[in-house]
Amino acid sequence: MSSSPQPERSSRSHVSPQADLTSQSDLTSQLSPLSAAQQRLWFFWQLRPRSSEYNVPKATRLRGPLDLPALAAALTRLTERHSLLRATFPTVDGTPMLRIAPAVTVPLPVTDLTDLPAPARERALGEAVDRLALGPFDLLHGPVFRAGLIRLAAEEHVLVLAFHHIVVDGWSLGIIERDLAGEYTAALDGNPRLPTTPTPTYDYRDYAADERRMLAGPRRAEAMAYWRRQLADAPAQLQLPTDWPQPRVPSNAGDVRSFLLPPQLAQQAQALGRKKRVTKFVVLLSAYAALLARLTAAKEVVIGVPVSGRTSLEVEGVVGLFVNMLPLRVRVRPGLTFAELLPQVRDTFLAGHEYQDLPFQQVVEELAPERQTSRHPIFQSVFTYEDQSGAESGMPGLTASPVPIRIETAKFELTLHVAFDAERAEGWMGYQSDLFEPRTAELLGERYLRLLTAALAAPDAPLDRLPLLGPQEERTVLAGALQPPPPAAECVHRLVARRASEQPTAVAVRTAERALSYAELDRQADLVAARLRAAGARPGALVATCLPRGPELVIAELGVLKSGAAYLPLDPANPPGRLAAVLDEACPLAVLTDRQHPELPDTVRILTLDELLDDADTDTGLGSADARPAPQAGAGDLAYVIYTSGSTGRPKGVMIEHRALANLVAWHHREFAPAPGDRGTLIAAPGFDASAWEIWPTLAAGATLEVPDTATVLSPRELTDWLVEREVSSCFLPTPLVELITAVPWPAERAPRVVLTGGDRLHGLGQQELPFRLVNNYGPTESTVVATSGTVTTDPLQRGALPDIGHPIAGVEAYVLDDRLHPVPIGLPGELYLGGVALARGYLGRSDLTADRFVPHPYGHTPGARLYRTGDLVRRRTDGTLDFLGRNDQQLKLRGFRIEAGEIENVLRAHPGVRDAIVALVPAGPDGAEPALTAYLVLADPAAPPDRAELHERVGRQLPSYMRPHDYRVLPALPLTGNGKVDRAALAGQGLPLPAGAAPEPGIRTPLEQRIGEVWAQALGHREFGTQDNFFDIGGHSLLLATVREALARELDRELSILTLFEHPTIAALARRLDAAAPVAAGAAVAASPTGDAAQRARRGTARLKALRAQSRRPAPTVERTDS
Amino acid sequence: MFEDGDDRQYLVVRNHEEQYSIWPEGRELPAGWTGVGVTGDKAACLAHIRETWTDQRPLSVR
Repeated sequence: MSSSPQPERSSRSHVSPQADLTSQSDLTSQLSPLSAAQQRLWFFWQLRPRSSEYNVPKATRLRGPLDLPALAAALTRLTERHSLLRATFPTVDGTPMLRIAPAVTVPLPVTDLTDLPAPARERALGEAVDRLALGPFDLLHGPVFRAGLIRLAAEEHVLVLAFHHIVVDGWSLGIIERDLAGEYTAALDGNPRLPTTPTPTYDYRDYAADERRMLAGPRRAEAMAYWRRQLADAPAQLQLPTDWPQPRVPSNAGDVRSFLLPPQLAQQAQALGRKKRVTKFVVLLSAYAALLARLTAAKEVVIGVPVSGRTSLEVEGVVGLFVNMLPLRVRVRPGLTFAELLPQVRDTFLAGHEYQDLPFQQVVEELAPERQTSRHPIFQSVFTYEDQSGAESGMPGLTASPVPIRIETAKFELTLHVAFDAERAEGWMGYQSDLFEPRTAELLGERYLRLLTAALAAPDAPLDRLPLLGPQEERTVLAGALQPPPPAAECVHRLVARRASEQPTAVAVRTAERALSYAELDRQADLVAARLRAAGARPGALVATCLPRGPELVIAELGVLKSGAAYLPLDPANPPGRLAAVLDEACPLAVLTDRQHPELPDTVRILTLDELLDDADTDTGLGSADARPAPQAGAGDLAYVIYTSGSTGRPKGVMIEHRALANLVAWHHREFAPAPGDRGTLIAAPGFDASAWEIWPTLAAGATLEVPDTATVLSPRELTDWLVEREVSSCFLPTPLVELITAVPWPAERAPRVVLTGGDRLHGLGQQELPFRLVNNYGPTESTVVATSGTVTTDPLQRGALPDIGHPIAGVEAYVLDDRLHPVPIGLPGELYLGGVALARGYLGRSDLTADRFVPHPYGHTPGARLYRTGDLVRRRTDGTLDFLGRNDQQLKLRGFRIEAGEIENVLRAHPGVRDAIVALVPAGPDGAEPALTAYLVLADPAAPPDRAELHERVGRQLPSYMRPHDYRVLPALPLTGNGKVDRAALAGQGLPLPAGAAPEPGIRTPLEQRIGEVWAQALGHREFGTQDNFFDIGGHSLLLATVREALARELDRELSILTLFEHPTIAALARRLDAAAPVAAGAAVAASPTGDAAQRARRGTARLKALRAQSRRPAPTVERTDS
Repeated sequence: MFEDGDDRQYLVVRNHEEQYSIWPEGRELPAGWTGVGVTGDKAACLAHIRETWTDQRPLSVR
C-alpha cells in the first residue's frame, strides 16, 4: 500500500474519456438515474464484469447481395433513433448514472472467411460469432452495443449484433430488427433521412423517472400488498431432481437443449385454448407448471414469467430494458385436471400482469430479504414464450435466417423457452450445468412434450396420472437386468471341493495362529457332513452354527452344505435371549458350536465341532456312511438362512437357495477375478450375510481367507496395518469402517487391489487418491447380499454428490417404481424393487411376510416371477446407475446395521411399565455428534417410571447391542399426524429423559478415573455416565473405541491397547487395570506397534484370541461388533 | 401399493410354483399368477396365506 498521502476528494467521478471532453457542469446535467432493473444489472456486472451472462446477442445469416456502406449507415442511424444504444454508465460517488452521448459511431468490422475451405469456414464462423456475441462489455466506458459482419461468400454474410441487457430486452430486439431493415432500405434508396417509422419521442430516461415516481407513491404499496398476499407461504424453493447437488457458489454456467413441437400439437394447443378461453401461452405454461409439479412431487410451484413491462402505448417502440419478471404461483393439488389448471393459470397470470409495474427486485427485497442460499429468490425456474408468426423482417434482396449462438450461461436452474414462427414451433430447455447433465435436459424436454401431448389429448384426466415416460425411456427403465445371470452356476461347496483336489496344500483359511489347507478343510467338512447326515441332515434341513469368525466356522458351514442341509449362522456374541428366539423360530436339526459356546436353549440338539471331528476320526463306521449315496443339494435347495431385524418385533429368517448363492459367486468371479494366491478376508460377523460374500467367492476361487482377530477388527488403524501386512488382495469392509480407513493415508504399495463396501450410505472419502479400487455395493439380504454394485470414482465426490450404488449385478433386475407400481422416470425418486435369480425363497416359517414383500412381477419376462419390494428409495441416474436416497418405512440404518424399529419397540412395550414405545434414529449432528437410537416411551403409570438401568438391561438380554437405544425419553403421548399415524418426524428432541435408577451411581473417586471420564465425555458427546457404566451401553461403539484409545494414550502419555479398553469397558475397571499395570510393562506387553514383525504380531494375536475366548465365556461385557 | 393400514382390497394370488402373494383388486394380474378366490384387506389376505401356504418350497423342489 502506498504511503504517500492522497488528497481527499469530495466527489470522484469515473467517466468515459469521451465525457472528459465536456465540462463538469455539462456532464452532470447529462447524467440521470438508472431504472430499478438497470441498477440490478449494473450490480451483477460489477460482480462478474467478464461474464457473458447478461449479453443479448443476435446473429443473422443474410443471403444475397449486401450493401456494406448502407448497412454501416443504417447502424449509425439506429443509434440516433434509440438513445440507450449511446449509453454509458459512469459512477458518481460510487453510484452508477446513465449518460447518453450525443452521438456515437458503431464500427462494423468485417471478418472475411471466403478463402477458407468449407469445414474450416463453418468452424471459424462459430468462433467469430462467439467472439462477437459473448465478449464482455464495459458499462463504465461503453460501448454497450457492438456489431460485426462475417463474410462467408460474396453473397453470404452473417451479421452479429450484441448488446448488454442493461440497454435492451427481448422486445427491443424486435424493434431493432425492424428499424435496422427500414434504415437499410432507406440507405439503399439513397435517402437515409426518410425513416420508415417515426423516431420515438418517449425516452428511457422518462421511463426511469416515471418508475421512480411510482415507487415513491401509493401504487407501490398497493402492488406490494398484492404480491405479499400472492406469495404468502409459497414454497421458497423448487426441489428439482438435479443430477448434482446445489453448489455453494453457483457458476451460472449453462447450456440449452432444443426440441421440436410437432405442428399438430401447436394446433391442438390453440384449439383447446380457444375452447377454454385461454391463450396458447397459458396452455404451454400450464403444461410446464404441471411438469414441474410432477418432477418435484409438490402441490405448488412458483415459476418466473417475463413480461414486457411496456404498459403504455408510448413505450411500444422504445429500445430499452423494460422487461420484468412475474413470480407465478401455480397450485397443482392431487387429482387436478389440465382443464381445471388452465383457468387457474390464466387468472393468476392476468392478476399478476396488473401489477407488473412493480420491479421484481423490489418484491424480492421486501418479501425475501434474507437470501440464505445461493439459489434464486422466490423462483428458480422460468418459462418464456415467443410468438413470431407473421413477423417478417426484410432487407431488400436479402433472405435472413437465424444463426444459433452458443449459450454458456443460465440465469435460472431450469428455463423452458417455447417459440413459434410461421413455419414451426420449437422448445429450448435451458439449464445450469452445475445442476444438470445435458442428457437430463434432453429428457426433461421429452417429458414436457409427452405431458403436453397427453394433457391436450385428455384435458379432463388427473395430471398426476399423465405419462411422463417416452417409449424409449420406458424401455430403459423397464429393462430390469443389464446382464443375464451366468448360465447354470454350480453349487459353491462343489466348487470348493474341486479346488481342494486341484490344490490340496494351498492355504484355505488362515488366522494368526492357524493355517488350514484346502485338503484339511475339505476332509474335516466331509467328516462334519457325514456326522450331520447320520443325524438326519439332507436337502431342505437346517443346521445352525454358533461359532466366531475363524477356520472352525468355515469348516462347519462347508460341512453343512456338503451334508445337503442349509446353514443358519448365529453370532455367539449375541445375547442368549436373541439366540434362543432365533433357534425357537427356526427349529434347526442341531447347533454346531464349540466348547466355549454361550448359553443355548436345551430344546435344541447341541453338537460341538471338536467332538464331531474327534469322534469321526475314530469312527470306523464312517467309511460305510461315505459309501452310501448321500442326497445332494441342488440349485433349488436352500444354502443358508440368515436372520435380519423384523418390523413385527421378531427377527425374520431369509432363505437363500444355492442358485442365488452360486450367482453371487459367479458374478464376483467375473467382476473381480480372484485367483489362487490371492487373499480375501473374513471380517463380517457370522450372523451377517456379508460373511457369505467373503467366504464363498474366495474359497471357490482357490484363494486364501485371512481372518483377523477381534482386536484388529476393532481398530481401524490396526485393521489397515493388518490388511497391508497380510497382503490382502480384496476385502469387504462395512461403510462406516471404510469411511474411517480411507480418511488416513494408505501405503501405495501392498494395498488391497479391491476394497468392497456396503451396508449404509457412503459419504465423503476425503480428497486423496485411493491406492485401491473402491466398490460401493447395495443389497438387502433378500437379494443375496449384493443387488447393485459400482466402482467409486472421485468425480462425483468433487461435485459434492454422494457415491452411487452402481448398476444391478448379473442376474439381478432392478426397477424404480412409484406407489402404483408404475416405472418412475430417470432422475426421479421411487421405491426399488428387485427381481431375478438372486431373490430369496422367502422368510422361514413366515409365509404371510413372504407374500407381503415378494409380490407378482408386473414387468417380468417369466410368467409367475416375483419382485422383492425393498422399501428403499432410490433414483436412476442418466448413466443407468442408481442413487440410494433413504428408506420408505421405519427401517433404520445405524453404522451399517439394518434395524427394524418395530423389533426394539416390541421389546420395550413388553415391559409392564411401558404403555407405548417408538424408536427413532437421531442423525449425526453438525457438531460431530454420532447418530444414535432414541427410544420415546409413553409410561403405563407416569408416577412409577421403570428403572432405566433395568429397562436397558432387559433390552440387552433380547437384542444385539447395536439395537439398544442410547437414550430413553418419556412423552405424555405419542404425536400423531393428521391421519392418525405416529408422527415420527415430530419426535426429534421431544420428551424428558427417563430418570436413571434410584441406586446411587458410584461417582468419580480418583484422578485417573477423572481423566478417563473426560476422554469418554469427549468421545461420547455427553456426561451421563458413572464409573460403573459400560461404555457400550451409553452410546459407545467399537468404532469409537479407537478414538478413545488415541485420546487416552495421549492424555496418559502411555501406550494403551484397544483390547485393554475392550476388556475393561467401565471407568472403574479400566482405572483399576491401568493402576495395576506399571506403564512400562503394560507398554511392552500390549503396545500396538504397526511396524512390528509378523511373528511378534502373531504372538500378540494369539494372546488376544485367548483373552477374547476367555472373555467370551463371561456373560458381560456385551461385545459390539464392527462387523456388518 | 402394498402399504400397511390402507383400505385397499387385495386378491390372494398364486403362481405355478405354488408361491403365494397378494395383488390389488381391479388391476390386471401379471402373467403366471391366478387368484385363489380370496379377496379382502391386506391383513385378511395375509392371514389366509399364513394358514394355507405352509410349505414355502417351490413346487419343483418339493
